[in-house]
Amino acid sequence: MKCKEARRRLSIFLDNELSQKEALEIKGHISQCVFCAKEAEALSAALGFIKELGTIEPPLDFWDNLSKKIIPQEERVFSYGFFRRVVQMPVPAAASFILVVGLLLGIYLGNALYLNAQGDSSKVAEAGADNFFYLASLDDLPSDSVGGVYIKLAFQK
Amino acid sequence: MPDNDHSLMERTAQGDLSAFEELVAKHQRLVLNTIFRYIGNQAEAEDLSQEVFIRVFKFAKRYRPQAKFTTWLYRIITNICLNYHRQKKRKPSVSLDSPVFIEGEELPRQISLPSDTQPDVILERQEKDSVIREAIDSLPEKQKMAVILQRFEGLSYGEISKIMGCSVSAIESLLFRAKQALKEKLKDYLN
Repeated sequence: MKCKEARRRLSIFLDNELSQKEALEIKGHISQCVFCAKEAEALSAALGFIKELGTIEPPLDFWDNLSKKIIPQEERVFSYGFFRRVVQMPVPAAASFILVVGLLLGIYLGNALYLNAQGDSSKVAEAGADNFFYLASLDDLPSDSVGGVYIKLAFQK
Repeated sequence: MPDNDHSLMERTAQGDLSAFEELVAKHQRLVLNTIFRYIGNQAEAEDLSQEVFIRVFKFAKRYRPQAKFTTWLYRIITNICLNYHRQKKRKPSVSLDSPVFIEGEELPRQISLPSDTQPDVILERQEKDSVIREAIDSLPEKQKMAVILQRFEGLSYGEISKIMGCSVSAIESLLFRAKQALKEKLKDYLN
């Protein structure tokens, strides 16, 4: 074996990655070649030296810190899922909000305008203060209509 | 025991946090020290170790026990370390852990060694660590990772090739060049 080939394989030999046969060839070459023996010694010393690099211990609160980062992720999916979806969809969320507010405002204004048109403005303030949604007006439904039957059943004791 | 790791991963995938805690306790030292050897900064190594375990947790459902669990774990560590290096190159910053120089002299670092440790022993340890650190840091990133996996973690060329996504001959070549560079860098300390 030539020195060039021996030196290329020396690195693999020092890592115990050569087959038994190849390792014996390298050992044979080193025992006969002073230069390659010196090279093997220098490489071995350098590799032994770097292995002395100190180690560190994980901090005692490693798991505590890690679990704080992981568990909220899990919980967010269940506990804050709805809120997160709302934040992620600002346009549909804003449209739904406007629709609900518009509907409530429409009920109120519709009733107020109706009472005003009938010339009984005192009832507007009175009804508004007592019942924003004018639910009392449901009492006026004809008793044999579907709505009337439903109200009767719903409030039956 | 690799089988135990696989079953812990299976339970983690089903949402069993106690299994994940056991897995973390078992491998946290390996993860932390591999990263610490690569980046040389304890605080950042701790942060990146947490990042490794967050990824393990996140990908637990996709994990398939085809190889050893640690091979998969080392692959995550390698990706995180190489990404860290790329980001660091793009946005260089000054670390609070980096050596402080005053008039060209490095300020000695306070380290926690047993109180009965002799000052000269502490100094020797610090100097040795600093020399080794400098030699390892001088290596190109892939050579550095291959050396850490081979020398410190005791992995075979075959395992390193799977982790780093290279052929075995590419690993042989990386390690050959790394060892030559380390030998040159350390020759003054070894004579």
